[in-house]
Amino acid sequence: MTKRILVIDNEEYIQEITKICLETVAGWQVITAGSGQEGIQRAEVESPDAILLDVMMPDMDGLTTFQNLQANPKTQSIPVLLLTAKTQASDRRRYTELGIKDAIAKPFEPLQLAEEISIALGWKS
Amino acid sequence: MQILLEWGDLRLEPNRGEVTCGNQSVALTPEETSLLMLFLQHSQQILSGGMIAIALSLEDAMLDVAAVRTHLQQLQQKLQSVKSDGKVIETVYGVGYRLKPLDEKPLQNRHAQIQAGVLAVWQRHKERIRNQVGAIAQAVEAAAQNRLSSDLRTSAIAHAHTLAGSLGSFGKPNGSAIARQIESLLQDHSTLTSTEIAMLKDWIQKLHQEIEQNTPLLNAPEQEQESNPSGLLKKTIEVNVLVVTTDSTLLSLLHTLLSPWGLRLSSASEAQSVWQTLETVAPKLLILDLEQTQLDGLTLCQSIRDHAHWNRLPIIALTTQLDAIAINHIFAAGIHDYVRKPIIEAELVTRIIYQLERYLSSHLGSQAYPSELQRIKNELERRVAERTAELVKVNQQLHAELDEHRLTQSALRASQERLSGIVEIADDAIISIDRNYTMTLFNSGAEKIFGYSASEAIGQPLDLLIPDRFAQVHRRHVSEFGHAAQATQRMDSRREIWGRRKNGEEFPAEASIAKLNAEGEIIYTVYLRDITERKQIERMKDEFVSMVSHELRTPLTSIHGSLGMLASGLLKADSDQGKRLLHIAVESTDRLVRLINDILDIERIESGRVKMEKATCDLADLIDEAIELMLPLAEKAGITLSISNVSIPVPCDRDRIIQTLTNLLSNAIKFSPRDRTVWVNVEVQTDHVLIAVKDQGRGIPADKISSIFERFQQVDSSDSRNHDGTGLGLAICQSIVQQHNGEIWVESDVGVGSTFYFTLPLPPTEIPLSCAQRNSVLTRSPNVESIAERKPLVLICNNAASIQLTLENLLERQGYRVLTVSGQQAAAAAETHHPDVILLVGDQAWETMASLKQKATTSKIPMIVCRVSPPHSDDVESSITQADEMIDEVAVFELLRQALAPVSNQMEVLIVEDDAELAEMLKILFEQHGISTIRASTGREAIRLSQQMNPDLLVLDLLLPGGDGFTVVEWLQQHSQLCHTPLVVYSVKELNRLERDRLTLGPTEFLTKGRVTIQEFEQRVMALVQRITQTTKPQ
Repeated sequence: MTKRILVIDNEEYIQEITKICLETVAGWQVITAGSGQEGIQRAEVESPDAILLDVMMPDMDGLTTFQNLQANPKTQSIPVLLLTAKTQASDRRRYTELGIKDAIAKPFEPLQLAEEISIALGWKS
Repeated sequence: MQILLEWGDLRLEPNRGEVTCGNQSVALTPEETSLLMLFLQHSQQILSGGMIAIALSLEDAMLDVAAVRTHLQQLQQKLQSVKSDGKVIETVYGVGYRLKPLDEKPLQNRHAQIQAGVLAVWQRHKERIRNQVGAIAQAVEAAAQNRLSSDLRTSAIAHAHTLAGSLGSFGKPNGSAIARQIESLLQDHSTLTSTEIAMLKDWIQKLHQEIEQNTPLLNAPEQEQESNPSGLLKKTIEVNVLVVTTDSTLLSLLHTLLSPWGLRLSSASEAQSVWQTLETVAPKLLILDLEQTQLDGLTLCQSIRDHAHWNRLPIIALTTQLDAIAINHIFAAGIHDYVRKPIIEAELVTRIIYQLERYLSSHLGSQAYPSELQRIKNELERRVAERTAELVKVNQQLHAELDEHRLTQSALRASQERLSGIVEIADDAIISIDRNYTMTLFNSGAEKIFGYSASEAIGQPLDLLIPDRFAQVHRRHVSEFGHAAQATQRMDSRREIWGRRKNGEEFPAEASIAKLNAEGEIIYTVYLRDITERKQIERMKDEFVSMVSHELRTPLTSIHGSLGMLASGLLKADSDQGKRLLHIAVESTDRLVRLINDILDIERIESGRVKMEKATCDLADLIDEAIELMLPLAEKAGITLSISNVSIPVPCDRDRIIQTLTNLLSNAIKFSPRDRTVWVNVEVQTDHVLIAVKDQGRGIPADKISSIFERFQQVDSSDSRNHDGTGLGLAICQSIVQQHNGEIWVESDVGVGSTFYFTLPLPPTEIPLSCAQRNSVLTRSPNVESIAERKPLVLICNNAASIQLTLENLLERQGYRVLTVSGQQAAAAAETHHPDVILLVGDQAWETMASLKQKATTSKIPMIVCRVSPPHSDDVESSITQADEMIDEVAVFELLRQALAPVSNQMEVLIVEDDAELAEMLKILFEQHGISTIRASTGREAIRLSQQMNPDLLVLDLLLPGGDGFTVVEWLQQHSQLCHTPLVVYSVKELNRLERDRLTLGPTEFLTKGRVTIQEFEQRVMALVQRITQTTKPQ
């Protein structure tokens, strides 16, 4: 089933790579945003199936963006996965406490990214 | 009349000062002669050092006692060398000096005379003595009949007593001794046994015999002793001592003191009785109380000294006098010795025994009573020694105890002071509490940490210092510890400890607790450290690690993703997407490399592991170099660089300041729109120089200004991907400037632009006057002018004006700068402009060249002669034509290239020197000889540059960072092109033969820094240069 994924990352190259990966490997549709603010707007408009969210972003960091998405009725139901360098056990515990489904470590395996997302979100048993 | 002073065989003739001993003359100094004369004139007296000094001193030359002693010693030595019988002058210990009494021989005559006199008196007294003996005999007879009355006994004792004295005086010591035995026996025993009576009768018999024996009256006593070798007699020998005093207390004290030593006291209090007693008792010593008498003691002494018989009688004075003059008077009166009152037993007895011993040994013969006196003396010495030892021991014990006590006290005090000092100066809090949890000690560390004064805290419960929510837990903790076995415990091992300051602020702490059981009461001492700062640093470190981790993972994610996709084969590398992925991978790799470099850089600078290598640099050079590096970027971005430069020496790390400048410049260029200008301005202020880099970029929002120099802080989220930054550039700049004790800041208006400022401190009084002149604004279009400056300058000496333009255009098109002058101007222009090559064109080209070759300043400039037109032609037009025809462009350029080639290859020296200032000096030195230099500051750099430039000469320091000079040489030796490089080893290291062998390349000079002056260096290196050029470029 084709999914629509919103990638929010201030790094242009990472947006591009993620897009190429998911499109090529899983045939999903990928939309991108370069900041938390832009991401929230796009999420409102596009209602993607899931959001891949970078944590370390300069203007609005990933966790604030997530809280804003949760606070927004239009976006609060969209599952969010973090794409981050910070995936230690303590970090993961904090993420799940906040209601984040899972965190995928950077650098990710390009061929397995789609699969990881599917498993984390329960799209694939 | 000639007066001779004599003492034995020693003679002194006072007028001439001649001294003879027997037949030998003795050479004495005037001082020694005077000294000897003094002793001879006062042959009976003891002279103290002070007295001698006064007597010998002249009006203008006061002798001191030490000088007297020296003269005395010398006199003694000289006299001893000629006198076989030893010393002439003897030391009276503690008193002074005197002539050593003469022995037997000189006395014999006097003995005879005395004997005759004594015999006459004896005859007169004989009857009286017989009667006295008879009276004693009567008493003994009465005792035998058991009817001895006390009167009779007393009278007998008195007679025996008188007999003992007078018989002694008349040279009958045995008789005297017997009389003394009789006296003693009668005194000690009021009733007499028959044996004692028999003994007495025997003694009386012997007395009679003694009396009836006429001769010898004053014979050698030992003969008599030998004739009467009774042990009893020997043992009971007593010595009479006459005490002249009215003080009965003193008398009885003396009696008590002296009788145990066998000294028998007689006393007298006025002159007449003194003379009588002298006669009757014949004392061997006179003790004269100078204060408690009815006579003038000193006059008496002098009378005794003048008396023929008693003149040698030892006299010891007892006096309360203390002053030197009085004491001098005492000795001047002929008193041998004195004892100060109150009397010290040991002193008195010692002096008496000493005087007696001397007197008896010298006047009664050396063998007189030797054993008895020796015994007395030994006994005395033993007792004194015993008592002294006892006293010394007790004294030592007392001292030791006292010392120990003092030591213990001072150690205790020192220990207390040290401990309280430690407690006071400790930055950490040291707090004691009693079992009631009340604070009893609160040190200054605690005051600083908690904000309470000691007086505020002491007496309060410890809860005061603990956040309420922890108070209960803490009390329990302390109580548990009170019951625990161990004496100390860390309190933060299980949980974090928090303290509460007076202002309510809570802070993380690290604490230990110790308990001390002091006289049944437990005292707890808490040792606490505020770790707020440490926690902060830890947090910052965590944040940095997290940042670095993110920053590194970002390009890594791109690289891994791109290459992973390509490697999977799902995307072809030559497809559009594949190409894009490759591009991303390459770019990200670059970014990763930059990032790693910057991270390492900032870490090294901030940790201080990279030291700023400060040397005096011309700031203008640094700015020029930074501009040079940034030109390509500026050109690409369409930015003009405008520099207002100042030549000023600034102590700094050259490379690091260039790095700072390029970082600021690259930021300014990157954030400026096209066709704008970036300015670099320098302002010299009193103690620092201010450098400003100004742009017309978008500016920095106010809320970012404060964090702009922090790591990974960028104004916009898109900055990192748009501008190739690592987010560390400004942080690095800040670190570098701070390491130079400078400041860095930014002023910015959004939409208008930003100006980054930094300062570098100037050393005091080093603002050269010339900098004001050079501080002219020089706006230039760097992408044109700065490059132009480095184009080779061709000086054309042209007498054929017609082809000037053609030539100039031709050369300028090829990137040369051109200056055209006439043949006459050639020399002056060459001297002024230092062209890289001179092109001689037209008529008299050879002549011009010859004149240029003759001048030292121009002779070395490469010259090309260009034949333009036949010399006979005077047609301008045709000459142009001909010139055009003549000048083969390719040939001219090739000639120019060849001529210029040696310029760039011309003698290039690689200076390997880590000291920037020294390198600069060497550079100037070589430049003065027209030799260009390149500097390497490390061994590694030296190797790299050697490879690149193939230097004509290597000036090598040995102690270098990054591979020493030996390593450099060893590396060069491995390379065929470099192994013959001429070498100047210029190092502080003293080299041995082996090391010199290791360091040889081509022609090699070894110069030791500090040993050779810079002039010597120049001389020797230039000589080497000449050798090199002669061998490599034969003329």
